[in-house]
Amino acid sequence: MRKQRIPKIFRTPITADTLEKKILRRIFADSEKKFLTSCLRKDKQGRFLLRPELTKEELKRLKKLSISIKKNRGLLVSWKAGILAAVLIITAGFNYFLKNSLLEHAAERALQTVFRAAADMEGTELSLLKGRIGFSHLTIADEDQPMFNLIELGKTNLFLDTPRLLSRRIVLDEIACREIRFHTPRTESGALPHIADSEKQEGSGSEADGAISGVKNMGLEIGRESAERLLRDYRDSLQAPELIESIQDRSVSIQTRWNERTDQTETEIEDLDTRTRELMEEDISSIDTVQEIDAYLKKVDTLRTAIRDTRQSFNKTYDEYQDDSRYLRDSRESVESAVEEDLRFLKTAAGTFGSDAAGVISAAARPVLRDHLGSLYTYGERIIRIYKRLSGASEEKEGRFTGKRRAGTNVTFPYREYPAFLIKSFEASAGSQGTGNFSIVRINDLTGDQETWGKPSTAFFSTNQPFSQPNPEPNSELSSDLMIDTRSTSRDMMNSKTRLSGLPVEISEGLDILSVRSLRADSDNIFELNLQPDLSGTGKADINLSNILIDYSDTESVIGGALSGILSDVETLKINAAFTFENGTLQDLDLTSTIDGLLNERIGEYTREQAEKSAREIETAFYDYIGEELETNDALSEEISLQGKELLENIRAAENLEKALDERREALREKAEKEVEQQTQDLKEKAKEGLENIGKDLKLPGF
Amino acid sequence: MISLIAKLIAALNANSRPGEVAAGFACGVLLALIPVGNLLWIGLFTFFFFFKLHLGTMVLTIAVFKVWIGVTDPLIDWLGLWILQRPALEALFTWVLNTPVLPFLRLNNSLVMGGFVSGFLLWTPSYFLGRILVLLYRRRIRDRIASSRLVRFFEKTPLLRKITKAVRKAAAVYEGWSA
Repeated sequence: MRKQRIPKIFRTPITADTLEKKILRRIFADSEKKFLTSCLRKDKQGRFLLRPELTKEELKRLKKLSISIKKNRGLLVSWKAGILAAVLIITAGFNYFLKNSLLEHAAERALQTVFRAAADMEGTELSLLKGRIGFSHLTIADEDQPMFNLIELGKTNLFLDTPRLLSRRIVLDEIACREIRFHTPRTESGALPHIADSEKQEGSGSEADGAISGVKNMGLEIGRESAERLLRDYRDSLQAPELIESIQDRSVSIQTRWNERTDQTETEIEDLDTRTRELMEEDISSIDTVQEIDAYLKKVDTLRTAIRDTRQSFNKTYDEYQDDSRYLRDSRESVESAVEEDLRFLKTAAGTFGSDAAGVISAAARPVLRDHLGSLYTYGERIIRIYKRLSGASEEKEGRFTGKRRAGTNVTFPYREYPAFLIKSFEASAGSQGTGNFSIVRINDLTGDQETWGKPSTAFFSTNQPFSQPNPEPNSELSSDLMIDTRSTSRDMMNSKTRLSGLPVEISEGLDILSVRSLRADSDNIFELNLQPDLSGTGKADINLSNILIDYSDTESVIGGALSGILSDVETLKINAAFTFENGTLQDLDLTSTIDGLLNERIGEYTREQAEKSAREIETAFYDYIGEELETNDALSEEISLQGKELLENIRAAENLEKALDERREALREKAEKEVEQQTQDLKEKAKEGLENIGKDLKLPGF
Repeated sequence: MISLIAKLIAALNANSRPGEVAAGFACGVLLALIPVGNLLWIGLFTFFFFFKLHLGTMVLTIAVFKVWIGVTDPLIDWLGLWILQRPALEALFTWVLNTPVLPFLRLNNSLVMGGFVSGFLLWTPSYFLGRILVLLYRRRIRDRIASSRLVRFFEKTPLLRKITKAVRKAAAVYEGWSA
C-alpha cells in the first residue's frame, strides 16, 4: 500500500506568525482548525511541526485541508488566470513572432501559385485589432521573362475598421499602394525552381476536378430526388384534382345514362306518332256499327292514355335530368371553389417554398450523402443534433427568463451612421516622387450611400510622366480634381478641375482657312466643369499658349498676311472660354483672349486705311459722275424753261379769250334784259287794254 | 438545478471562504438585475469567471432571482430612464454609442442601465448580507442540521441521497457532515 505523504506546507517547521497569517486565517471551519492544532506540536524554537505519530486518516484529512488552504489563497482562480495568461501569451507570441512571417509565407505561396513565378514579400504587417494588413515591398517575377518583374509594389497598407464589421459595415479607413512599377529588372531569376511541382499540382488539380464533378453529380442526384418528392407532397395537398376526377367519373356515367334514356324516349315518341297517324287515317264515314264506333273510341282512348303516360314519363325523366344538371352545375361551383382554395394554398406555399424545398432536399439528400460520405455524415448528423438541442434549450431558458421581463426603453442619442460599404481613403502611386516620372491617384469617401455618410466622393489624379516621348517636356504635369455628390441636398452633382501644364500642342489640320499649315506651342491649361443634377451646368477653360510657332502656308494672301502681321510679335497667348449647357447640350460659348485688343487695334488700323482710300476713290468717281449729270440737267432745264414760256403764252391767250367771252356774254345779257322789259311792257299794255274792254262790256258796280 | 443546489450546500459546508459564496451571491444579484442578451451581461459574467467566487452560488442566484426580478422592473426601468436622461451624462452616452463594440453593451436601454446601476449599488450590501448568512449558517445551523433526524431520514431517500452524494463529491472536505 502506498504511504500517505505529508502535505508540502506542513513538511517544514512553521513559525507562529506564518501559522496564524497563512494557514489558520485560510481555514473557515472551526472543526478543521481544531483538527489542525491537534496535529501540531511545538519544537524548541517555538515553531510548529506535525506530530510524527499521525495516522493515515489524519494525514489524508490534512492533505484535503492543505488543498482547501491553497484554494482560499488570493482573489483570482489560478488555473483560470493561468489559461487566460497562456492564451494572452500565446496570442502575443504569435502576434510578435509568427503572425507576420506566416502571412508573408502564405501570401508568397499564393502569389507564386497564381503567377507561376517567384514572389517576394517584405515587411509584412498584420494587426487584427487595428484591422491592418500591409507590406513594405513586393515583387512578382514575370513568368516569361524571369529576369524582369511583372510588377513591383512599394509600401502597401490596408486599414479595415474591424469593429464596424460587427455592425455589418465594411469600412476601409485606408487603402494605399505606393511606388507601383512594372517591368523592372531583377538581380536574380524569378523562375520557380520546381516547375515539376506545378505539374504535379495540375495532376492533383485534375483529381480535384474529378472530385468537383463527383460533387456536382451528387448534387444533381439530390436535386432530382428532391424535386420529385416536393411535387409529390404538394400534389397530395391539393383538393381540386381529386374532386375533378370524381366529378368526371360521375359525369361520364350521367352522360351514358342519358344517352340511353334519350334513345328510348325517341323510340317511344316515334311509336306513338305512327300509331296516331294510323288512327287518323281511318275513314270515320265508313264506320257504321256501334261496335266499330266503340272499338275506334277505345283505340283512341288507348292511344290517348299511352300518350298521357308517355308524357308523364317524360316529365319525370325531365325532372331527373334537372337533378343531374343541377348536380353538374353545383359540381362546377365546388370545383371552382376547390381550385380557388388550391390557388390560395399554392400562393401560401410559394412563400414557404424555400423552407419546404430545403426540408425536402435535406430529406432526399440524406441517403445520398450517407452513401457518399459514410461515417462522416453520421458524425455530422450527431453534431447538428447536439447543437440543435443545446440552442433549443438555451432559447427555451432564455425565453423563460426574458419573457417575464419588460423590454425597457431605448433612449436615443446622436449616432453616427455608417454606410454598408465605404472606402475613406484610397491611394495608389507609380514611380518615385521628384524623379519626373510619378503618378498618383487618390479617392476619398467612396461609397454608394453618400446620404448616410454625409460627404461627397472626391478623387484626385496627378501625373508628371512625359506627354511626348521624342522630346519629353521636363515640367509637364496633368492633375485633376473630381467631386461627385449624389446627395439630395447637394447643389452640384459633379465638379471637376483639370490642370494640364507643360503640355505641347500641335495643330496641323483645319487651319487652312487661316492660311496656316500648322501651329505648335506649349500650353498650360485649366478646365473647370460644374454639373447639376438636371444635366445643366457651366464650364470654364483657361488656355495659356507659349512658344507659339506658326507655319503659314500663304503669307501673300490677305488673311495670311494679316495674321502673320498680327501674330509675329506675340509670344504668349491666353484664351479664356466660358460656356453653359443644358440637358447635356451646349447653350452659350464666350471666348476671349489676350490678343483680342491687339487684333482689334490692327484690324481698326487696316479698316481705317481702307476706308480713307475708298473715300478718295468714291469722291473722284462722284465728281466724274456728277459733271455729266449736271450737263444733262442744264439741257433739260433749258428745254423745260422754253416749254414753260409757251405754256405761259397759252395761258395768257386763254385768259384773253375768256375775257372776251365774258364781255360778249355781258352784252348779251343786257340785251336780253331789255328785250324782256320791252316785251313785259307790251304785255302790260295789252293786258290793260283787255281789262278795260272787259269792264266796259260788263259795267260792274264799284269799278 | 440539483447540481447547483448541491454545489451551494457543499460550499456552505466546506472549508471555503464565506466571501466566495457571498461574492457569488452578490454577482448573481447583479447579473439577475441586468437583462440577458447584451455584451454587458456576457462581459460581467466572463469577468466574474476569473475571480474566486462561488460560480454555483452565482448561477443559482441568477436562476432564482430571474424568476422574480420582473417585479422590480418598473423601479429599474424608472432608474435607468432617469440616469439616461441626465443632460450631464448625454455626452458620455453619445460617446459610448458611437464607439465601436460599446453599443453592444446596450447601455442606452433603461432596463440594462437601471439593472446595472442598481446591481452595482446592491453589490456591497448583497456581499455582506451573503457573508453574514454564510457565517450564521456555519455557526448556528449547520451542526444542528447535520445531526438532525430529518437529515438522516433524507439520506435514506433516493433523491436526497443523490444530492448528498453530489455534495460529498463536490466538497469532499468536510468530514463531520455524515459522521
